[in-house]
Amino acid sequence: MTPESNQIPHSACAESCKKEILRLIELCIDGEINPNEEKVLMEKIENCPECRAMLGTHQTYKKFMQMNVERKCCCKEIKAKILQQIEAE
Amino acid sequence: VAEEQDIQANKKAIFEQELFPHADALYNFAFHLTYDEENANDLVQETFLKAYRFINLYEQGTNAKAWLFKILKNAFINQYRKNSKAPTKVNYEDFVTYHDSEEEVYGGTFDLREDIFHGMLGDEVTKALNGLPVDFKTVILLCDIEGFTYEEIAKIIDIPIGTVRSRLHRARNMLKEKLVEYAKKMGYN
Repeated sequence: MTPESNQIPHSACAESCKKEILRLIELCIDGEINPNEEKVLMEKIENCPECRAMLGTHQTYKKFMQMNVERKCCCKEIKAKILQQIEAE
Repeated sequence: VAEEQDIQANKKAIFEQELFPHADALYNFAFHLTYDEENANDLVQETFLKAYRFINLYEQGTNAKAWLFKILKNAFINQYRKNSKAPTKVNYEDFVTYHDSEEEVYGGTFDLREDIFHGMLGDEVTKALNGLPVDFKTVILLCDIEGFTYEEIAKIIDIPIGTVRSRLHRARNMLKEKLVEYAKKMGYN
């Protein structure tokens, strides 16, 4: 028996189980997961390639959003205007 | 008179040291909410002016960024209320209430392929993000872009933490649909 054959295919997970894993994955990428939930997630990730891939996609999404979504800056003129308004208060 | 001067100087010091450094983050939030430079500038100015006038309500050394984002969010909603008087405009609160049901929270699987991100540019995702309804866009901006915790987001937009989670999940699924649509158009799939 190969190590791969020990792994549970994602399709074998019950619908409620998939939903729970998805909930844990979102908590994990948002840094909101608690140690018990993390343990459950890690066990699942070890045994289910599709759950592992789903975690990977979510992690990529999170990094991508943080690094690539266009960030706008407040222009110097507006910053100066705000400071003038505060000075006049 | 000297005491009054000390109070004013202290207010200005708190403003400059703790509040004003968040100007860029606030502007970024305002811009993505309104998708309009002029409106974003107005919102940021209004936010800082209100923050300064009510600076006695700010507890020094606490989360200044979250406090400012809350003020800006409220100013934005007020702007929406004014606009909603026009017959063609959407009423923000009705819209939010309609979408806030926590039923079927974890439907959908977010089944994006990782390689979709490799061929996609930031401004394409920005466009997709700006195409989301405002309440969904807001949670993505606060969580995925600004890195606020669920608890902070709950306080900023005045909703329970459970609603933050469910709204964020729905928002990501909506964004995913837009990204998949875009990827198909560009021949990534």
